Order: sequence, then C-alpha cells, then structure tokens
Amino acid sequence: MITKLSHLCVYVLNQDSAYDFYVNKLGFSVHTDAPMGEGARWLTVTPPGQPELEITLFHVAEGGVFDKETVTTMTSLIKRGTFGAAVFTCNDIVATYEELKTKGVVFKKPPTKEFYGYEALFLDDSGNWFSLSQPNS
Amino acid sequence: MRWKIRCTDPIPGAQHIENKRGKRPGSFPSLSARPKRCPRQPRGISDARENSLSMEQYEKLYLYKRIVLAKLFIDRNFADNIDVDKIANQANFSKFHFIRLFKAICGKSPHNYLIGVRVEKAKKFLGDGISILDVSQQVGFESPTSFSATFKKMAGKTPSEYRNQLAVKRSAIHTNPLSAIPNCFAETHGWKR
Repeated sequence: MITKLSHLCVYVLNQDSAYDFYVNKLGFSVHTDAPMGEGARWLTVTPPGQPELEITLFHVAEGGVFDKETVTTMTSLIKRGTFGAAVFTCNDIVATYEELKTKGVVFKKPPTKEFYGYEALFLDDSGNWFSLSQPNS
Repeated sequence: MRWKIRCTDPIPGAQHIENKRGKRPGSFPSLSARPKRCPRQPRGISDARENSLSMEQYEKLYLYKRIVLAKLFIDRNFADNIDVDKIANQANFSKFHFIRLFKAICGKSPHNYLIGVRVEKAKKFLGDGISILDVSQQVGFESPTSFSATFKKMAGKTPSEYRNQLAVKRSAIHTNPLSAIPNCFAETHGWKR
C-alpha cells in the first residue's frame, strides 16, 4: 500500500537560478544540496508546510539516460511551458499572489474562481508552470 | 464608518476583514497613489460570473497589498531593531488593527512571523559556519541567550545541536553522496557506479 509521496522531480534549466527562485521567491527550504562531481549537483527543496516532501530540481544536462538530443528536446519543451509540474495550496490566494508577484514571479493566470475554489497559475524560472490554489473551505 | 463585504463572491479569505473608510494610504512607495475609482476588470481576482470589482472588493485588495508589503518589509529588515509598532507604523495602520489584519491574512501574528524569519535565517547562517554569537546579532536578537532560547523553542534543538547535526549530515553526504539520493534518480543521471 502506498502511503505518501517523498520525492517529486522538476526539470530545470539552471540550478543556481532555480535555487534562487524556489528558495528566495517561493520561500522553500533547501533539504539537500550536494555536489556529485563533474559539475553535477543534487538539489532538493521542501515546501514550508511539508518538510518531508523533497522536490528535486533536476538539471537537464547530458549524462545517464539524457543524450544530447533528449536534452535539446527537453530544454525546448520546458521553455515553451509544456510541463505543468504540480499544484501548491495556500491559505490565502490573494495574499500569496500579491506577495509572489511583488517578488517578481510571473503569473499566467490571476486568482480565478473555479468550482473547487480559487486557482492561479505561475511559471518558475525555467518555464514549468504550477497551479496555486485555495480550495473551498 | 465601518463596512463589510456584502457581495456574493467575495475575495477568498477576506470576509472577516474590516476597514475604516478614509484611512490614509500607507507609506510604501507603490501604495502612495490611491485609486479614485473602481476599475471595470478586476486586477487581483478574475471571476467568470462577475466581471466588475466592487469598490469594497477593490479596497480589500488594497488592504491585502499593504499587509503583503508589511510582510516583505519584515523579510528585508529582520536583522534590524524592528518591532510590531515600527512595522505597523510603516504600513500606516494602528497597531491592533494591523495585528488583526496580519494574522487574518498571513495566519500568524507579525511578531511570530518576524521570529520565524529570524530563526530560518539563523539556520542558514549556522550552516555557513558563523559563530552562534555572530548569528544572534546578524538576525536581530538582543543577546545570545534569548537567541538560543527562541531557537530551541522554534527548532526543537539548540543552535549548537542544530549546527552539529547539520555538520554530521553534510559529512555523510560528502563522504558518500549517493547515500542521500534514491537509486532511480542516480541511475537516471548516470551517477550509479
């Protein structure tokens, strides 16, 4: 029986920039930041209210199953905003939206009323989009 | 004159917030010019069923912006000698009105939020190898004693315990980086030997 999600993978184009976005703009905490040799880096962050969920910020680079063609394709798709990575929830979507916008986060959609609550869409520094939602109470 | 939201689709989470009409705008730069009329299309909220934002809703958004900027003021100035009086003054709220609004919007009091920011910054500085005395000063505590007590209350361990545990974890990762990584991720990157 599956009990919980422990790791979530988000493909990013630049880990330094992703670190700044997820830590300094979204307010996530760094869980592990370890050099893996030859320029590789294992970087995971955790959302403020969910310290057991590691979001791994995977650099799209050649190595392992990523050949040059795959890296080119992935980079293009991420930049185009193809991938929706996850849904984050918050207690107050207007306050969170205003705060993130002030910090420079780009929103594709402002808080909008949906049948399940309110939802906004924002992009990370690479081009992945996330849903920010405030469920109906 | 006091007022409350009466619309059918209010700004989420704002039903419990009240405001005094005629209150002067805050001192934050972006809030210096107060809007004179309600825009037809909502700036903060998009609603398929309601295209216009009432003046009351618009003023709620204005309040939200002031609280958010007060929060960001704390984020920037946590190391200085700031307290709730100063933060409320910056946002041009009365102290108790500010505390009530901040707690309603951010989920915790301004004081608790400030302490939380200081402790989180302290964790980072401790990880960077800065001494406990210097860390306590750099995050705005008056003394190392009060810093240690607050840190233990918030983090569940003393600053030195936190630093030692972090050092052990980092050492283990440095010695064997793959120990911190699920095998599937390591193989995907070609790190598995």
